[in-house]
Amino acid sequence: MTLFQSLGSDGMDRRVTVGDIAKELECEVVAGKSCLDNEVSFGYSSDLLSDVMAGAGPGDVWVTVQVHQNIIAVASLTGISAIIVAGGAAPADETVLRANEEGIPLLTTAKPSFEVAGRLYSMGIRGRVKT
Amino acid sequence: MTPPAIIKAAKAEGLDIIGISDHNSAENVVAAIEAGAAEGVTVIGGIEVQTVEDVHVLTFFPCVDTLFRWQDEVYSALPDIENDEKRFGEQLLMDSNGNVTGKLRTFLLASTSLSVDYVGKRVRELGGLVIPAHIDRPSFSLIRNLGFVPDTLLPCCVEISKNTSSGSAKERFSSIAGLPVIKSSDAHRLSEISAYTEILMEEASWEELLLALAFVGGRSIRPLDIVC
Repeated sequence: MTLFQSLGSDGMDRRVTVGDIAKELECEVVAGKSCLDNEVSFGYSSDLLSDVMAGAGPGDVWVTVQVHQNIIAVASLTGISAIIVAGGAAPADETVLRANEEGIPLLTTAKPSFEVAGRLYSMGIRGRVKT
Repeated sequence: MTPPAIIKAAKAEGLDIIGISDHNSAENVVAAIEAGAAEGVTVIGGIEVQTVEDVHVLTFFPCVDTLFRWQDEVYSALPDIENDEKRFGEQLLMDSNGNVTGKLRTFLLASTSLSVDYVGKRVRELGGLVIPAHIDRPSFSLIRNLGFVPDTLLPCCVEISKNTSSGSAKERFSSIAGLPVIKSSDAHRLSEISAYTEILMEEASWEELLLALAFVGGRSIRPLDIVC
């Protein structure tokens, strides 16, 4: 796959990692700090968790405004690389706890979902198309 | 859709016990309870709370004092928006004879800032019942919006809409396994009032309802699976 631009200064092709995204978008990493090397395949943006369960896939970075603890289980289930909680929403304590337990990087930003998706696209990440 | 008209329609449909749960409000519950008492129909008062996740949760209480305490909390979690009557209609308050006694200014169709977990925890603390509403529907449903029943919510049962059967709901939504299922009319018009759940209990009361939810002593709750 050649969907991903190289971000490395060494000119080597490599996939975007969650750490790259956190840095580029100036996100706060509120959980899952040990998993920032997770590689990202596609992007997915949705606030309906049933839709994410049906449509997202392994390695996706998921943009949402939902902060309920169920987002962690959904991410675990689908193999999502990271969750970006957009729009300044604050994840519930239980959500942070479960993200650390499950090793799911949980990023927050004041930027709205629309802008987060746009920035991710600029980094070379494309939307996952449901199959 | 006045309180006495609701009771009359419920009685005509053979209902002995009904739940009244308006959206984010319980203002007309007392009128309905009084109208029901006059006709021998038991009314359980509640509120359909719209949570911050846009999930509808039915909350019911044994007494109006606690219900209104809960209503205060729900009201203080609503945004301060005035109801636009031209778009959304009037929010009328009525007495048990169906006379209009006032109007609510605050727009009730908004989401509260309360999370579904908080609603569950707080309502159980206050001695109420927590029921995720119409979980099979494409909008304002716990399952649609949050994927599955959170293991911390501990609802007393789940509600399915009249458009589905309990069998197909159990097949589609594995996370409701082990929970009783009720089916309701969700009537917004008199013509929609009808019986959708059969409860076997000694009398139509809150206490008996709790026992039926626990299937104690031969009591039971069974959705009537006639899909309309």
